[in-house]
Order: sequence, then structure tokens, then C-alpha cells
Amino acid sequence: MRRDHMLYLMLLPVIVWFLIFSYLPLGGLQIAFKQFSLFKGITGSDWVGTKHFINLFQSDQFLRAVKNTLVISFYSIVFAFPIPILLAVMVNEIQSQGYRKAVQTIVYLPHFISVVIVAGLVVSFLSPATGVVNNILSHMGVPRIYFLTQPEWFRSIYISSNIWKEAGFNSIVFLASIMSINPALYESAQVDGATRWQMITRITLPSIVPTIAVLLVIRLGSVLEVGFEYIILLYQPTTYDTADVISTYIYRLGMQGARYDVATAAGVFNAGVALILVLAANRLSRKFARTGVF
Amino acid sequence: MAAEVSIRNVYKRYEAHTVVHGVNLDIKPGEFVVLVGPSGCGKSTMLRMIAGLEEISDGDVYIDGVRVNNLAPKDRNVAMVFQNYALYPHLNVADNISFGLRLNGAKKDVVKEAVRTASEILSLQDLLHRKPADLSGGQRQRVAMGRAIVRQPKVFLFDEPLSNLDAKLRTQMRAEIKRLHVRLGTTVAYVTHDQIEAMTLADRIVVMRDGRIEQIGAPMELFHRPANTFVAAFIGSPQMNLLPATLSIRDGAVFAVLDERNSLRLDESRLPPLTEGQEVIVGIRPEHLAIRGSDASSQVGTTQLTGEIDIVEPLGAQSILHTRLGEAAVTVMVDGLVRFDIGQPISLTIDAGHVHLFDAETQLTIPLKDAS
Repeated sequence: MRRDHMLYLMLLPVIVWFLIFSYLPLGGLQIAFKQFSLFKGITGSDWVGTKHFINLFQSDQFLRAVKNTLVISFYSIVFAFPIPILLAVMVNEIQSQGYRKAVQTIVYLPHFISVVIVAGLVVSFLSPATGVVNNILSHMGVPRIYFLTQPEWFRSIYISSNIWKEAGFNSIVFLASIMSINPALYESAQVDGATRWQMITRITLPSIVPTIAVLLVIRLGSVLEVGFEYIILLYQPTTYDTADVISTYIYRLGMQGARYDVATAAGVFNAGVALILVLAANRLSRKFARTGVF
Repeated sequence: MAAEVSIRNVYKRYEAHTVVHGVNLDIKPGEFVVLVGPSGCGKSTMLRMIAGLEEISDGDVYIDGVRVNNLAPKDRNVAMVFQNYALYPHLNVADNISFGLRLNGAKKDVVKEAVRTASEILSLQDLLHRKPADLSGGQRQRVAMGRAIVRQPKVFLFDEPLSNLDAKLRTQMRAEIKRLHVRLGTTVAYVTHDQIEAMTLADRIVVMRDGRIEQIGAPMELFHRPANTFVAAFIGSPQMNLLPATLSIRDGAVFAVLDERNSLRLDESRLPPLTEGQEVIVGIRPEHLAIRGSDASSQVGTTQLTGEIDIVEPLGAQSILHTRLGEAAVTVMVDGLVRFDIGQPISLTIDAGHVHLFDAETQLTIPLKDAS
């Protein structure tokens, strides 16, 4: 402690930050169990037990939001999670340094574009009147589609545009993991007669399994947290059936409806489920990949 | 099963930088050849060119008479053992050993039998289900050798396989590699920077420097008849003392004058024609120098040199004395039981039959006739 006091001193602002912005607000969670009144304050409001939770589970809108959250997360994991891995493997296979750097720059760039701009691009591209997608469809003789007002299109649009935006950047971790593989493993396999494909399937992918497992754990832990801002920017009442997720539901309930207590109850439920998921995923990772986050 | 390897005028260039300069080497079937030299001398590059892991810039490599320059590594029928073992961390020992066979679609019973045989040869039977992370350095190296064995190659290539092991384990593994070679009789090309490894393992040693071969020969040939000062200094431990001297011929007797106090009488019967005042380098192995008591005044043997002890390194059975003879530092290997002190004056004697002479300008050996 004495020897490392400068390090602890440097750590202090982070600890203070966490205390103020992460731990102190936890006290406010009690309003999930109270009939919250702005005039009575958090401590002065009356206790109502699990009333808000019961109401939530009797609400079709909340159950729809839970279902949408799970479905969007599930599709994201199935489709969006593997793509950065494939991208990293593909980038790793590029022999020309110049071409490789160009590819990396191109695929990383969308990450740095604000979600507001991405949403704007999506709206613009999918516009029924002037959007490039509908123009192409129109040229092919297909009737114009109102993509952003039809619930059946929302998940595909959300997930595919998210992949476009984040797959490149998310591939960095996997690429770094691939780069750390001992090159002698490939040379040894080359002498043994392995093809490029066999090297990918038998060396590259198994070698990055620990990284995949850790990131999957983190991803599973946030399965109930889908891109709140992006959905807010893209959805509209006509697509609530497939687009409304827990976070947007809480936002509408809390911020627009001033039902802070019910919104907090939904948030507590969300956090509780997320905690269980993280613990379960970490356990699975430890069992199968011999590694975990904690 | 063993193959001949011929290397013909091979060059390796990285853009404008040449790292291997026209190397020629023939490795006979079943021969154990060690490529030795300091870091960056091109020995590993040579091995990798034989394996097919490096492109050959110029020249040809033949394995069993077939030019392999353009053949993929897998088609050269070679197996390579790497310095850092190159074991697949996610596979257990059995799967690591059989990796190459399984890649090539070998049948399960063939794989099983090959793993059994290799594990028996290398005493790995009890470790087959362990992952590399659970093995010691020596065990990992044995697994790496097992992976090479199961492919039944015509040539084994070892790239500094023992350099990650501690001294004791290195000695054990050295013996195991030697036993393995005797048992399998496969041609071996082995790279190391450790001259002891080279001396103990090789049928022939290839000493390399700056991408060129300095000398090829049997270990004792290199030890007794080094071609130049580089080989003389590289082979043998502690390394040979190389002392600059000027030749002086008096009444038919030839002396190598080291400094004002010390000169070395050479054995004229072994010398080729030499000229008065010629600059030479005298080579004396530390074990060929003997200590006379500090009070010695008469010559014993042919020559006596005087100086004082700088540092004493006791090794047990022997001690290494670092002495100073005028300006020159001279290493002496002596009996470990005798006590020596720093600063102690000493007289060294040497039998002229053990002296090596090198031309000071070319650094090449001046051939001497063998001592009778």
C-alpha cells in the first residue's frame, strides 16, 4: 500500500466517479417499491411492495418490450456477433499490407459515425419516395416499400445497419487475438500439409476461442440492453410491435409519462435478469473455454 | 528412409539485403549435420529454406535428388521441430502428435498406432491426454519431436530445439535426440548457436558467419584444425586464446613474440616457410596451457609465459583462470583442486605441439604439420 500509494492516488478519481455516478444512485432504486411522489421525495414516498412489478407483468406493452428485447438480442448474437470474427479472419488472410490497411480503415470508419447520422442515412436510403433502395426496387419492377413503417422490416434494418456500423470496429479485438497466435503454429501446420482453410479452422479459430468466450459472456450480460438511442431514432408507433424494447419502454414510461416508480421497477427487473445472465454465461465460459471474465 | 540433402549455391535476399551468400552443402543420407553460428548468421534461414518456409532467392535445394525449390513444405517429406515447440494449445498431447496425420486424412487405427509408437519412443504414454500448458518444457519438446516422428519424414529439421530449456534439461534432451537419431537413422539438419550442442550431436558441423559457411567438418576436425580464427574461437569452451604476435627467427629457431616479456618458441619441424617480422595470431586452447608455480624460473615443456591472475572461476573439477599476460588476456583451464588467488603471479607453459597459427591479415589458419 505504502509502496504503491501514487497508483492508489491515481485510482481515486475513478473510485469517486463510480461512487457518485454508479453506486450512490442505487439508493434511488427503492422507488421501484414505492408510490413515488415528487413532492414527498424518494425517502418520503409510501412503500407499496411489489405492486409495480405485478403491474408490469400484467402489462401487454411491457411483455411485448421484453419479448422484442430478447428477439433483437438473440438475432444480434446470432448474426452480428460472428461477423466481426469472420471479418478478423478474412483481414488476417490478406497478404498485401497496403490492401489490408485500406480494408481495415474502410471497415472501421462507420464506427466513428454518430448513431444520429447513421439513423439519418438509413431513413434516407430507405425513403419510399427518394431512397436509393426503393429506387433500385422500382427499377426492378418491385413496388416501393415503406420499410420504416412496417414492423416486419424493423429488426432486419436495425441489425443489418448495426452490423455495417460496428462489425469492423468489433473485429479489432479478434484481430488482435489472431495476431497474438504463435506464427510457428502455422509454419508447423504448413510443413504438416495444412491448407489455408485447415489453418483457419484448426488453428486460428480454436486459438481465439477464449477471446470469443469472454466477449460472448459480456454480450450475453447485456442481452437486455439493445441500442436505446438508435431504436428511439428509428422506431415509430407503427413499428412498436417489433421495435419497442425495455429501454425505450422505460424511457417512454419514465420520461414521457412521469411514472418514475414503474420505470424504475422495469429497470430493476432488467438489471436483475442481466446479472443472472452474466453469471450463467461466465460459468459456461469457464466450463467450456476454461476462461471467464471473473 | 533417410534422404540426401543437397544445397547448391543458395542465396537468400530480403530486398537489397542478402542474408545467405551462395551456400553449398551436401548432407548424406542418415547424417546428423549441425548448422552452428552466432545469431543472425543465416543458419535458421538455411533450415527454413530446406523446409520450404522461406523462398530461395537463388540456387537450388535437392532432397533425394529432387529439386524442391518450388515444392510446398508438405511435399518435401520433411518434418520440423521448432524452438518454441509450436504445440497447439487447444489440443492434447495425442492430438498434437497426430495433427499432421489427421490433416492428411489418415485412418483412425493408423493414427492410433502412430501415436502409440511415438509416445513409446519418447516416453509420453502417461501424458497423452494432457494439454501443452500442463507439460514441462522438456515434455513439450518431446511432444514436438513426436509430431515430427509420426510423419516418418526423410529429413528431420531442428531449429534450436533446446534453447528454451534449462541447462540440466538441455543435457538430457541432447542425449534423447542423439538416441532418437541412432534409432531412426533419419537425415537430420539441426540448427543451434550452442557449440557444445553442435560438438556432442553432430556427425559434421557447419560453422556459419554472416550468411557464409566458414568451415564444414567433423567436430574433432573443427576443434583440432579450425580453418580460421572465427571457427577457432567459436568451437571449444572456454574459447581458444587468440594472441597477436610477430614472428622472430633466431638461429633457425622460430619465436612468436607476444610482448616484451613473453615469446613463444614454435616447433620448427611443423612450420611452413615463414618470414621474419610476419604478423600472426597465436591460438592456444585454455586446456593446453599449464601452470608452473609462481617461483618457476626454468622452462618446462617448450615455452613459458608469465603474467598474473585476473579472475578465478571455479567450476568444481576444474577452474577457469582469466590471466593477463602483458596486454593480452589469456584464459587457462586448470585443476579445480588447486587454489589460486586474484593478483597471483603465474607462469604458464605450453607444449608447442598444441599451438595454432593464423595469418594476422587474412585470419586464415597457417597449416602446421601434425605433431609427431
